[in-house]
Amino acid sequence: MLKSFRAVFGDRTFSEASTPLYIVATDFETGETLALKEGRIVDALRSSVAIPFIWPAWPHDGHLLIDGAASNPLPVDVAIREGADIILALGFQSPLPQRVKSVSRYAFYINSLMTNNLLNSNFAFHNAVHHAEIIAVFPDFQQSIRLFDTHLIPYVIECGEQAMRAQLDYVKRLLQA
Amino acid sequence: MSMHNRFSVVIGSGGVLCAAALGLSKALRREGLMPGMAVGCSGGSIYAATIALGLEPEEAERHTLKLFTSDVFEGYTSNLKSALAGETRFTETSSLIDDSIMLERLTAVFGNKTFEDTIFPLYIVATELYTGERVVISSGRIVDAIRASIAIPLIFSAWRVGDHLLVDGAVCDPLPLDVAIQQGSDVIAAVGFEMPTRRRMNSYTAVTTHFNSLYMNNILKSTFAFYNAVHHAEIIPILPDFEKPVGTFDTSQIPYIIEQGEKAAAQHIPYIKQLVAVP
Repeated sequence: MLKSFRAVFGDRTFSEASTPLYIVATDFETGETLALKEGRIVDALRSSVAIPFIWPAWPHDGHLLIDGAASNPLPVDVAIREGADIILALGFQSPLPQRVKSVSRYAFYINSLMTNNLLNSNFAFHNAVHHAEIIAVFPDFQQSIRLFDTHLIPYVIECGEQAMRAQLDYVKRLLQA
Repeated sequence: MSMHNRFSVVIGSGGVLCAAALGLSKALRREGLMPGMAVGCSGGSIYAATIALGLEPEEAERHTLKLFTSDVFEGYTSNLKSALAGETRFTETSSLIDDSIMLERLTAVFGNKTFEDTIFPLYIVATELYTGERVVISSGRIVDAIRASIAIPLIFSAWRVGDHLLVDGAVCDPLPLDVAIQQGSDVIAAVGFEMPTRRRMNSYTAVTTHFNSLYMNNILKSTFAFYNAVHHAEIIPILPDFEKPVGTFDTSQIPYIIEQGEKAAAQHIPYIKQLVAVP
């Protein structure tokens, strides 16, 4: 995975991004959420995708970091804090396997349930208390897509485009206001 | 003792720390304040039930001392070893601990009592295993509801209640203030705890427990923030000040936990009285 990331991002840093970029990870020790905005992008990505049990935590800037989903699966709060008031939010429920066949799958399964519940409650909170316009772009997948179904990526992108197209007029109107 | 329908006690997850709710119960009894409902999740469901059944806090304390002894967790290490090695089948209804001792202890306290035997309404929260959604139990045998609500992932097996296969309520709603609000309460004494996290982990169990704690704590904070922000209930957090580290299954600390719960509750009694006096 690291090799693939490096092939795309090399040694690029956050300062090279044409729009400000923030990547969310979780402090493995405390469970707190961190928005990374400096250093090599590869390091931030590697931290943010460190799915519990699958990839090891990643040391970064004095913290041991894991998957951002453990604290903040859809980090609209970071955008709000950084001053955005029109937010396109792409969120996904973690897919749940039909059957649990081993102790490690069980642990993974429970983590997926908790990620989904955390997503729901965080999203409800940010929607309720902030005055930003949060536009949920939640694609409607007609088939079940598991975490590593890479062969379905063209379909996933297509669904994303459809979901976005449905919101486009509204976004244009907001941006003109 | 006068009952206040709008006043509720909500006791969240937290293992033996939930016994602090008995301290709250003592403080309320001393002032003649009786809530109109009790809501519990996970370890908190045990105390929501004893309070709703009208058990004396002292009696509930005696039961607690017998409940969480180390033999409840017997067999864990060897079962984990064989499950990880693939020697035993592990499915969504499996567990690493045989629940018979735990169930026997709970049955000794609650017997065949049902939700209808309580003095005021009792609600116990669990999580539907297949969807992750919240299930509120308010009928049937209390033992079944508690057993479902305390089904700590991997440790105790999921528990069937009606059509649902249920696990630990902390997976969806560690401090279920929403249930009290939905049932019409607008003055809520809330006893909630963050699960302890670890700095060093040297086993699969330690890592799993740590991940669960991180998630549950984040769900606790997130739901608490939401309920506080959008609902018009007065939520009074009872936060016991544990000056020394207390493990979630450290039974020797139970008297101390209750004492600290009582102290934390005592500070809020005048305010609760003032709120419930408002017609």
